[in-house]
Amino acid sequence: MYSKTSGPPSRWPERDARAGASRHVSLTPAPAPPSETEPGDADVSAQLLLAFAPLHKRALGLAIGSVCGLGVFALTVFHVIARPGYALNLYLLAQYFYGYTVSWQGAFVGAWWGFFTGFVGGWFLAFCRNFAVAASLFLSRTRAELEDTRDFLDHI
Amino acid sequence: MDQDIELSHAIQRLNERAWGIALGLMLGGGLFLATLILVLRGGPNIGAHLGLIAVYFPGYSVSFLGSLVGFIYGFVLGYGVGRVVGLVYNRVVGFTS
Repeated sequence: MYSKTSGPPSRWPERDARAGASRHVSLTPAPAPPSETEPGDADVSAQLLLAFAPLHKRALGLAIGSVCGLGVFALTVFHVIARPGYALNLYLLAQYFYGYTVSWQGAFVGAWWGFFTGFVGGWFLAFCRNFAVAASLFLSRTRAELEDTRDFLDHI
Repeated sequence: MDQDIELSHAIQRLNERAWGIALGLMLGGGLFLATLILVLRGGPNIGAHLGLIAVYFPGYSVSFLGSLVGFIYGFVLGYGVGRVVGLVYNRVVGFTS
């Protein structure tokens, strides 16, 4: 609806010409006929997708959860097998991970808790990142629209 | 092209190498700085707690040389973690989409 080519003839052609560059990268719906698309459109679209595409929350949660779960498991197994005398007090994890002990059974409990904690952390990380990107997009779009209508009274 | 709709359907892929390097630099640099700060501050018993990492990182110590060793260990560990995160993420995204 903001495209020069898709809407009715503009009432302010010089303003449209000035704002043309910013509209070119605007994310507002601007369907244009294929015959009028410029060669760089595909590049711009790909760059926009690369820059602003959201992260998959569940996937990032699974990824970070897997790493955290494996990490706690490996750490516990190392302590069970090697029994280092002067090392971190790993049993203190039981303060946060209910049922955790430095044992083989505790390794699996810790893996589950590590996965759960990592999943929540990863999901929340992706959520925050997507929210920040969406907020910055919204601000940019609002700023561009305000810029477009700044000289509105000059054309009356 | 309706870029809004395309954006809503697009899912970001992770660059595994970039994630590996980023996490590696974070972990390695963090351990390097933490060690170096303790060394520069000095005192009678330098890094009593941080030194416990030597159990997992053989050769590490709270000293200037140890900070370099810690950087290497941290970078390698962080790189591996970043690669695994990127790998799992991309696999899951590829599986679901």
